[in-house]
Amino acid sequence: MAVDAAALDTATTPQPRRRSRRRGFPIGWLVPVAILVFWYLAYTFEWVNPILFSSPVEVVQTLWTSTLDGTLPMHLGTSVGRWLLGFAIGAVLGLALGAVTGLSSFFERLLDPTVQMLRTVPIMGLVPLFIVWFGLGELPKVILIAFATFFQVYIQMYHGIRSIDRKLLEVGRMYELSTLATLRRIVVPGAMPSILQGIRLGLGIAWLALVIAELTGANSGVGYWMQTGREYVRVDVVLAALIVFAVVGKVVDSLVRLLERRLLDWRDTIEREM
Amino acid sequence: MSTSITVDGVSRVFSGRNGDVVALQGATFDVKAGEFVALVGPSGCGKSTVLRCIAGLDTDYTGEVHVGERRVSAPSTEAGMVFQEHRLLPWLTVRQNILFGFVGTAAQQRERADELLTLMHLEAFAGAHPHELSGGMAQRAAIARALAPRPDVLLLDEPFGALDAFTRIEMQDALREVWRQHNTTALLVTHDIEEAVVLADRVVVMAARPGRVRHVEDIALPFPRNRASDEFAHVRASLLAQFSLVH
Ligand SMILES: Nc1ncnc2c1ncn2[C@@H]1O[C@H](COP(=O)(O)OP(=O)(O)OP(=O)(O)O)[C@@H](O)[C@H]1O
Ligand SMILES: [Mg+2]
Repeated sequence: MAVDAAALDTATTPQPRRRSRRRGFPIGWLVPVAILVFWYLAYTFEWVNPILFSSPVEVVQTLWTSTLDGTLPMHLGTSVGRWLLGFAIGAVLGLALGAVTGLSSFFERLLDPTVQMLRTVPIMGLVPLFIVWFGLGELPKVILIAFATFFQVYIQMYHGIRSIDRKLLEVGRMYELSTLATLRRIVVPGAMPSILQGIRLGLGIAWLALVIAELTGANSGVGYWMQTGREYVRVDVVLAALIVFAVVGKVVDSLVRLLERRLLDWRDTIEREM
Repeated sequence: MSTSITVDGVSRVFSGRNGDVVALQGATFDVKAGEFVALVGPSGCGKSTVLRCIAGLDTDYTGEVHVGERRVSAPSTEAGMVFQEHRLLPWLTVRQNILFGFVGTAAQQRERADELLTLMHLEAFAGAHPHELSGGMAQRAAIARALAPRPDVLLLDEPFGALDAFTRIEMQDALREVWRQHNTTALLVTHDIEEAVVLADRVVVMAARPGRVRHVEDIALPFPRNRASDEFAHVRASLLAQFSLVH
């Protein structure tokens, strides 16, 4: 009320603006650093079997040398390529089908039960099938990743559309918006939080599917590199590969979150405080 | 430009799990071109339903609704609607929301938005998103959005229902002023008799179960109306008496 009265008689009320995100000591790093220190101590004082474990220093050296000799960049390039291709295919199909079932109850009744049923199939179980069907090349890996991505994106798209406030659609009707204009001006922006969520979850699950695909019958990629480490009992290589997986996954996740924040700065939710 | 509204023998039945609800039975009244009419009645008497029929959002009724010469069968930009909740699009700024239904060149858009922002005292919040507004500001933005395409009739469904008493009084004065400046026909649904007496040239009183028009009262008080005057109290009392007959 006080704000209201002020706004009425003067125009001097300060423009409400984005609050700056609280920046303090990055406590999120405490736990990883502690683990690293503990790991180093455990190795140095031989609390663990040094044959089955390597020191953090050794792992960093492995990362460094394999970067310099081109092994890691080559494997990483292959993995990221597969990942993005599989993700793109799965995401496009998921967005398209999610839009169809989200917008039409007929197609929802026709297709959604099947999708929900397929969704419960564990992707690990599909690996042997895909190898039998598609061999050991790129195809089964990309399909596996696309398959995993599809469901995440599909479900978020479907829910995003279904949860749009009917009351806002009525606003569109009052202004005689065409179907296309309603989609563009109300449905898509309204579903955007959910769509971006789907993309973020989809990227995550695609990354998991990539690891699964590369651990089973690949001859390139970070997963394959990890597999060779296992065969030659090079624990440093296995750990180095794990770190690469974790870091790339985290970086991409942060990028998508950044995109989310930029596109969705109109939202008033707890999430933005985090 | 303004246009008349005629509601002629409108009946609307909702069929639900617990049987049929007769929301409206033969509701008949009119609003003359340029007039400000308030529609009052107890909760559930069909006020919102009538308004939705006039807006063209609800077409499953019998009887006839005309806006000007046009028989209403679908929503039209001729009518501007302000809902009980502000219904601003949360991803648009106040300025973008106000222009949501306005068609024009970039220059016309800028001019119209500035005009309405000034009129509704929202200049300082043009770039804010709806969640940054107070209830009163959001409702002012919603009124500005309804006015932007210069509708011939303005339909308002308890637009101030959720506001505190002080903001409500401010908004009532602002609404009357805006209505005068825009020279439009206004139909305001409210459950607040005082609000009806403050604003309206005429008050239509509805009764519930089944929803129907019970009484129409001319409010002859001159503007601006003094809420504390004896005449005001007298008119409000006589309307209240109508209201208690209704129950
Ligand atoms: N979509 C609907 N489905 C079923 N019944 C409905 C629907 N909309 C309204 N009704 C019924 O029609 C009657 C009139 O409703 P309406 O919303 O028009 O009342 P109102 O006068 O606006 O009430 P209030 O002052 O509480 O807003 C009520 O009994 C209500 O239950
Ligand atoms: Mg109502």
